[in-house]
Amino acid sequence: MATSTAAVERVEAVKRTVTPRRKPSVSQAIIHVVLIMFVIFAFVPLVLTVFMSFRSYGQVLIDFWALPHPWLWQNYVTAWNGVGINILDSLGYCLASTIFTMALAGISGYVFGRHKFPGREVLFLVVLALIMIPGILTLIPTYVLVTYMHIVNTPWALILPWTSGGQVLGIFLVRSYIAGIPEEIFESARLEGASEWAVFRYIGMPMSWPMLMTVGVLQMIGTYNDYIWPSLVINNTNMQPVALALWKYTSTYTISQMGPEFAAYVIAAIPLIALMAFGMRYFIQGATSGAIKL
Amino acid sequence: MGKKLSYFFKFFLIAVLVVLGAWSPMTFAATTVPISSFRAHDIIYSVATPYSGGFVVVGSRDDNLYVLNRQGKLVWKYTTPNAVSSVAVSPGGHYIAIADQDSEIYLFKNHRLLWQKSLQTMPSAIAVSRGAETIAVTFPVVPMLTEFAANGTQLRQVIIPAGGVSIAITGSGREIAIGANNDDLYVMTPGGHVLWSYATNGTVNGVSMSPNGHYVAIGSQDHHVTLLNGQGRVLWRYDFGHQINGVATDRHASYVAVATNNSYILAVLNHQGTLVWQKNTGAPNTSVALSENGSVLAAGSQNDLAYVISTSAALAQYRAFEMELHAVYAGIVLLLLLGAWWAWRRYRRTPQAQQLVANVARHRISYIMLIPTFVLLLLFNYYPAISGLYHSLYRWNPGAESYFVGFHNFVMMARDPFLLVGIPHILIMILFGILLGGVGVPLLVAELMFHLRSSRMQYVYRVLFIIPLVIPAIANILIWENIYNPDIGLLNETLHAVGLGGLAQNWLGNPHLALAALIFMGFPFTNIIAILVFYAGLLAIPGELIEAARMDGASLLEVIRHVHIPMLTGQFKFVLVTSVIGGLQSFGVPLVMTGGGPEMSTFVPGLEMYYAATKYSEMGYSAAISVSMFLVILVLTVVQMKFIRTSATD
Repeated sequence: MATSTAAVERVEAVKRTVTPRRKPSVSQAIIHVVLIMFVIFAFVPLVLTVFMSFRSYGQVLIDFWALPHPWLWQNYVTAWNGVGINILDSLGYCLASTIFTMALAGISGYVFGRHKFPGREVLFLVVLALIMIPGILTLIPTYVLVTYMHIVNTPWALILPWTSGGQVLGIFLVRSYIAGIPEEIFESARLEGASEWAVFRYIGMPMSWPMLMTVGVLQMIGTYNDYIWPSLVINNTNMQPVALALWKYTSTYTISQMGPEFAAYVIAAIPLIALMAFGMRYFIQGATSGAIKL
Repeated sequence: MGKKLSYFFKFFLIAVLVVLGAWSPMTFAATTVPISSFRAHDIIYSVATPYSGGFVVVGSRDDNLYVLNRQGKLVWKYTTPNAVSSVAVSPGGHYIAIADQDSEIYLFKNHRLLWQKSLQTMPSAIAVSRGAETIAVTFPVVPMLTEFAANGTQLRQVIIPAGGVSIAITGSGREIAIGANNDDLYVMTPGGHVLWSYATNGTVNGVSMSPNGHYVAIGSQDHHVTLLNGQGRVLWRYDFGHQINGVATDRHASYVAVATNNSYILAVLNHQGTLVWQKNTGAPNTSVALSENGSVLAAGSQNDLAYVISTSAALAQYRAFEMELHAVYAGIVLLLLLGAWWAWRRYRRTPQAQQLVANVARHRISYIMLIPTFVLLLLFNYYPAISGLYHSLYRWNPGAESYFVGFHNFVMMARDPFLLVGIPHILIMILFGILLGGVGVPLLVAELMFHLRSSRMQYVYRVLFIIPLVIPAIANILIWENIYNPDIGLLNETLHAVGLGGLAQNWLGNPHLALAALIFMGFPFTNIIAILVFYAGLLAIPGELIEAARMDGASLLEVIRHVHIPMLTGQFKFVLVTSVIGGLQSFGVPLVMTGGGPEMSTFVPGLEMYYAATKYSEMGYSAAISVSMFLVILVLTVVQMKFIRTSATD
C-alpha cells in the first residue's frame, strides 16, 4: 500500500517534469468541456440546496427559477433549532467511535504486523474472515443483542458496534503499512531496553500515523452518514444522530417547510466540509487502498 | 499446531454428524399438534367451553350458535334473527347463554331454549355461573351491569364506572370481572361493589377468570396481556406487539391462551411468559377459551373458522422438544470437550507442546494487546452473525421463548410476493449501477483526467469531483426526493422550462417510473471512489508501455483498448465486486424515498428484511432473508477470490 502510493506520487512527479508544455490544443479543450459538463451536473444538487435554503415555499411557488428574495437567513435559525442538537450528538458519537477505532486499529494492526507469536496467523484469520460477513446478516441480530444489553437509546448503542465494525478495515491497512517498515528501527529500540509497550507507543504509533489518519477519516465519514443502524437503536429525538434526524425532520414537516429543510442539509454538511478540508488526501489514499490491495 | 488442529477438526466433524442424526427426527415433531376446525358462514365472534372442555360453543355473525365436539364436528346449532355477538357456557356445561345483536339474550339448557329476553340496548358480553344462578350482561354504551336468574327474572341492574366490553364470572358467581372501554379492569361483587380495579392503556377486550377467582387474565388494546392474582397484584405482563382481542386462563393460570389482532393464536406458559405454541390463522382472531385443565383450547377467527386444539399435545411436545434440544446442546459441548481433552492428552507430552506453552507465556503482551479488538469482534460481529444463522431456523421471539421451525422461514420466502418482486428490482439496480456509476462514467472521467496535460488541472478536477461528497448521504436522498417532486421539483421545472412540459411526471408516484427514478438518482454518476480507483490505476501503468504502443503507431483509442483496459483488470474487478456485494445489501434509498412503493415497484430484498424485523416482528423470517443474502454474497466472494488468484499467477 505504502509503496504503491509512493509509486503513484513518483509517476506524477515524473510526468510533471518530463511532459513538455505545449500550446493548448483542440483535444485538450474538448476534454475540459466534457469534464466541466460532468462537474456542472454533479454540482446541481449542491447549488440547488444552497439556493433553496434561503427561500420559502411561497417564493418557490411564485417563480421556481428566481433567486432568493429576500434571502431568508431565519431558515437557518429554524433549521438549527430543529437539528442543531443532533449535529452535536453526531459529532460526539462519531468522534468517540473514530478515536476508539484508530486506537484499536493502531494497537492490533501493530501487533499483527510486527509481533511474532504463536497463533498469529489463526487469530489474523479470525479478523480476515469478517470480510465474508456482510452487514445485512448482522444488522438485526446486533439490534437484538443491543436490546439485551440494555444500551438502546444510549450513545454506546452506536459507538460500540460502529467501532467494532470499523476496526476491521483499519487493522488490515495498519498491519500492511507497518509491516513495510524495516525491522531494525524497532530492534534498536528493544536493544536499548524499551518495553514492548514503549516500542509501540514511541515508534509503532507515530510511524503508522498517516495510515491511522486515513482510517480515522474513513470511519468519520462512514459513521456520520449512517442512518439505518441509528434508526433501530435511537428513538429519543434529542439523541438521534443528524443523519437520522434529517430523515425524521423532512418526513415530519411538509413540503411547505422546504426552506428550513434545505438549510438543515447545509448545516449538516459543515462537519463533512471541515473534515474534507483537512483530510482530503487521507480520503483519497483510503478510497484507492482497497483496489490496490486486490 | 497443524496436528492439534486436525484432531479438533475430526471431533468437530463427528459432533456435527451426531447432532444431525439426533436432529432429524425431532424437527417435525413441533408441527403436528392436533387441531381441528369448523367453518361457519361468517366471522366467528365468540367461543366458550365448559371446565371439562368436552364441547365448544361458537357464536358467529352468520346468526348461528354452534355447538362443536372436541373433533370440531357440529353437534347442534340454533339460529337467531341476528349475529351472535357473545356466548358463555356454565362450568358444568349444562347451561349456554348467548347475546345477539338484536339486543336479545337466550339461555339454553341441554340444547333446549329455556327463555329469551329483550334488552333496552345491545349487550357486549355475557357470562354465566355454575348453576346459572347468575347470568351477567354488560353493555358497551351504557355503564351498566344487568344480572338474571336461571328462571329469567332480572336480579338486579347496577351502575358501574364504565361501559363493559368483556366479562367473566367465577364458578360460584360471587365475583364478576369486567373489562371496560375506559381501559380499566373492574372486579366486583354481583351487587356492583368494586373490589379492586386495574388500569391499562387500552380497551380491555378480553378478560378471563380462573374458576375460583384466584387468577384474572386480561388482554388489552395496548398489546399487553396481564395476569393478576385475586387481589389485583400483577403476576406478569407481556407485550405481544399487537392488539389483544381475547384471553383465557386455566385453573392455576399455568397456561394462558391469547387471540391477537395480527392473526395469531398463542399459548403462553405462566411465570416466564414463555411462548409454547402459536398458530397463524391468516386473519385477526376474535376470541379464545380454555378448559379448566388447559388441555382444550378453542378459538374463533375472522376467517370464519372456529378452532379446537388439543393443547396438552402441544405442551407435551414442547416439553419433549425442549429436553431434546438441551440434550443435543449438552452432547455437542461434551463431545467437543472430550475431543479437546483427548487431543490435548496426546499432544501434551511432546516437546513441541512444552515449547508452545513457554512461547505463549513469553509473548503474553501480544495477546493482551489484542484483547479489546477480539472482545468487540466476538460480541458485535461474530455473535450476531452466528445468532442470525441460528435463528433463521427459528420462530424467533427475542425476550420470549423461540422455537425451532426447521426451514419454514426459507419456505415462506418462496411465497413472499414482496421478496420475489424485489429480486429483479435489485438486479436491475445493480446492473445499471455498474454500467453507469461503477464503470461507465468513472472510467470515462478518469481517462479524460489522465489525458489532461496540466497535472494542476488534473488535481483541480479531482477535488471538484470530491466536493459533492460533503452532502450527507441521507441529505442527498432527500434532495433528490425534492428534485422529483411533481409540483415544485427541479426535474419537472426544467422540463417545463425547455418546452418539454408534456414529459413532466410524478416520478416517484408512478409505479412504472419509480425504479428508474431511483437509479437515475446518481446522475451524472461521477462516483468519486471509482474515479479515484481508475485514475490511480492509470497512473500506475508504466509510461514505457504507452510510449512503446505510441511508437508502433497505435491511435489513442487503440492505446486505451490494448494497454489501459488490460492493465486495469484489478480495478475492474474491485469495482465490480464492491458494486455487486454492496448493491445486493442496499435498501437505504427505497427505505427513505418510497418505502418500497408505489405498488411494490421499488421493493428490494433488504427492505423486506428490514420491514420483517421492524414492522412485523418476524425476526426469524428476517434472519432467514439475511442468511440467504449472506450465502449469495459468500458464493460471489469465493468466485471473486478464485478469479483474483488466477489473475495473480498470470
